[in-house]
Amino acid sequence: MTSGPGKIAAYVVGALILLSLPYGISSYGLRVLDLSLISAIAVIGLCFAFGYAGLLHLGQAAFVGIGAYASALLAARFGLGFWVTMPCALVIAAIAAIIVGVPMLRLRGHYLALATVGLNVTTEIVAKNWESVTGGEDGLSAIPTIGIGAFRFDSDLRFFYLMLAMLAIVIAIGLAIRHSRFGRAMIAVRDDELACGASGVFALRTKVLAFTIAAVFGALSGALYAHYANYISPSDFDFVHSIAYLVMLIVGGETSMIGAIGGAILIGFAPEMLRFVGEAYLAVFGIGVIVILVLMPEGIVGTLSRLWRSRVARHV
Amino acid sequence: MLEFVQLLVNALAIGCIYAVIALSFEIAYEATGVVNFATGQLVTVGAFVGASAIAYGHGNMPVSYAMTIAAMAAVGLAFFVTVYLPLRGKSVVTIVIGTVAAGIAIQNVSQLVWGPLPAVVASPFGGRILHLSKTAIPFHSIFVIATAVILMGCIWLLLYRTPLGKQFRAVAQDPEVAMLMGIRVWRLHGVTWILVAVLAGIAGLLLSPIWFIDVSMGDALALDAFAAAVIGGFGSIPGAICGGVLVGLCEILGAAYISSAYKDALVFLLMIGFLLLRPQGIFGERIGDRG
Amino acid sequence: MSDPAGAPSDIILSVRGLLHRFGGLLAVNALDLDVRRGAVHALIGPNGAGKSTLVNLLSGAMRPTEGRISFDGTNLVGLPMYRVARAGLARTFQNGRLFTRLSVIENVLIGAERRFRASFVGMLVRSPRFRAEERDLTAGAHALLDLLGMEADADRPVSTLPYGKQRKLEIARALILEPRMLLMDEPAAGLNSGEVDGLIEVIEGLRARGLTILLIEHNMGLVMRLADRITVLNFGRKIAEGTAGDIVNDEQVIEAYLGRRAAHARLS
Repeated sequence: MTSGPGKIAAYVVGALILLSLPYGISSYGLRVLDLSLISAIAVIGLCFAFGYAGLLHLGQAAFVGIGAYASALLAARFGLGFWVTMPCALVIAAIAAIIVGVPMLRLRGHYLALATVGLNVTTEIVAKNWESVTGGEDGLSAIPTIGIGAFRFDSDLRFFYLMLAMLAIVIAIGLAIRHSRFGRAMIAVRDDELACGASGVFALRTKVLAFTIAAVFGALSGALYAHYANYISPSDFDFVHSIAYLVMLIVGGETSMIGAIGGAILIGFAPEMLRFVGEAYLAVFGIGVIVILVLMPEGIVGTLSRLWRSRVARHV
Repeated sequence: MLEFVQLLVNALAIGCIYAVIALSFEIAYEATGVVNFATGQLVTVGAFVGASAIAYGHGNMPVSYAMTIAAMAAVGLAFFVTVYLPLRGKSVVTIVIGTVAAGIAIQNVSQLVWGPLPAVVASPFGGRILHLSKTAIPFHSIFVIATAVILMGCIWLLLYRTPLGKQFRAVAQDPEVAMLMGIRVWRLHGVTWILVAVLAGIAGLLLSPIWFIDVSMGDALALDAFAAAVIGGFGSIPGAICGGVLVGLCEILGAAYISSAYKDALVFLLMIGFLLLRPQGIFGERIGDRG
Repeated sequence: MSDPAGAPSDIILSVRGLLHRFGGLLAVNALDLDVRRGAVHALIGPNGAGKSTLVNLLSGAMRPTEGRISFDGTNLVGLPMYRVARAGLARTFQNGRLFTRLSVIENVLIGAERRFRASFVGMLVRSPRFRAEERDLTAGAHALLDLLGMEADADRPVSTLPYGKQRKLEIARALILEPRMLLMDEPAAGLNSGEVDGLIEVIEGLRARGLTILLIEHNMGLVMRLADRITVLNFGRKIAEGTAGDIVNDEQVIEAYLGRRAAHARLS
């Protein structure tokens, strides 16, 4: 761990960069940035389910979708504002996660992975076909923007600052969880489940908690997305998105929330950065991911932080 | 009734194709420990390489098929070298993401080579139909079922009645001990991936005359094959057939009699049901007895 | 189930007819065992005698094919591991299973899981109850580390600890459970003689605090110095039981370790 003053300096510099980011990039770039930060919250959720508790969760997009549809529908049906619909969406996602998690999290490894894929596919199918509620393949449009009183977050710039505030809250909550018995238990469950049992930790309940936290963060991400893009459809929450979230997490560094944000931004901007390859963009992207996995198993942030630490150690 | 028989044959044919894909997926997992999420894309490549081979083969089906299989063997070897070897020994999630990324890359390359539009491919039997007391059964469906069954039989013989098969199973069960016993694990893994790709390619070949093929069909196929593998039981060849057929039946009959929209959900609920109640599937894990 | 030599509550752990089958093999064969409260009870036997299986059966890692296990009046058979631990029976592992992604102090605090009462919401809002618990249990964890001479290592990552300290950390993690009995699976394995002396001191200290200890060990020096009672297993059965003096001269024990000829040579 780096020394106190050094760490604080890094955070201050990072914060300054973040605050001034919008002024250095194009308006299209700002939109991509906003979308990346929305994804980042879902990825932070995955940090708990996979990074800490080791659950092979390939269905995070399902909970993002539940959050998005719940918030959008409550807004449309009851005319409620975001600050009411969003907490409701989080509760709905949490309940869904517990109901699904208790039976499902007894599975491990590739069985769990396939079950989460099945979960994702099933929710997508329901979204596509339950037309009376979800609008089917046409989706839901004219979703209202987020506002506080008369002030509305209806521009990309305003939304950017909303996202910074949201991320700050999410990270604060994440850190609080990490430095409590809940966070410790989740990490322990992945490290050694047998030793957990010997220490009196109820592994299944810990896994369900991690899964539910991921679902709640995912739903928050979904609700924000719905009221930002003002339009959602089932294909926004498909299996490909679940994989994307996992890639963002791995690229950033499995257990790092900052890494999750970095990974989300990197993967979010990847289509832009690879624009010069034209049609072959996905092929280059796929190969690039494999290269990162092979060369930097700790993820980009993980590797960078390890290099930084060894440099600091040398100068001390 | 007639309609039912036709649907049944159709479901059996599709189910057999799913079974072959499931086997490709299972062999990769059992022999090398890799959950291969690029399976669907390998099937797609097989279908399109087959389509090209048939187009350039001037109607000489056996030659076209042979060329496709040879090409898929090369693809399997390439996959072994560029995806499996670099990711060997890394964590499960890394390998999962790695194969997903490989699938994305393969799909994109397929699109660059063959374009985004769907294609129709001729069957070696043309459009010929067998008329059996008022039912119309496409010859191709019979061909598919027969090929799949023979193929599964051959693989079974290979695994359980040949020395090479014994080595396969030894490596699947415990690669380290196998290596200590002098088995060339590397070579076997290479052969495994060739087999994986060839199986996927054959599934693609069998599939192409039945449905429109397009470069993005991989994921949907793979998901059905995963369901088949779970239901039948990982590592079991009769399991792959049973699982594949069950999934085929569920899909085709489900679409016809219940709802064509929710047919995929039915398959998945079936898979999730098995995962929760009997995760080892109908026949249980066998080849390597991993767990 | 009472020991004729004392009142029923003297026996903290009582095992009757314990049997466990692995495939065709009887790893534990109709075992009866009584452990006296506050004693250091050693379990010895050649490799493969079934000692580790017994520890796994007692701690809930495996479910016995047959038999009864009674811990202070509570039936343990069928309880999952975490319930056995919470009932007051803690254990350490033969190869030392630590949580490598947690620091030393965090490893200890995992053991305190059942003693945390504050809810998730309470944690989020940092309620007074949450803060008090964190403070008290962290202080308790530090005290345990201090007792074992590891206070300075509290914030270190586990991977940087030398082997002897890793084994001690496991003990600390088991102790924070405030168990009434501790199963120790070969705690001296891999320790040098200085570390073994340290371990002996620790175990004597634990006994002085009233903790009952069931000790699986190969290190005879340690066993002879510490054990109040010794049970000898071979092929899953009990072949001898008694004090150190009884065991050393028992023909079956010598035969089990050294073979029939040695037994005859010894006694003639």
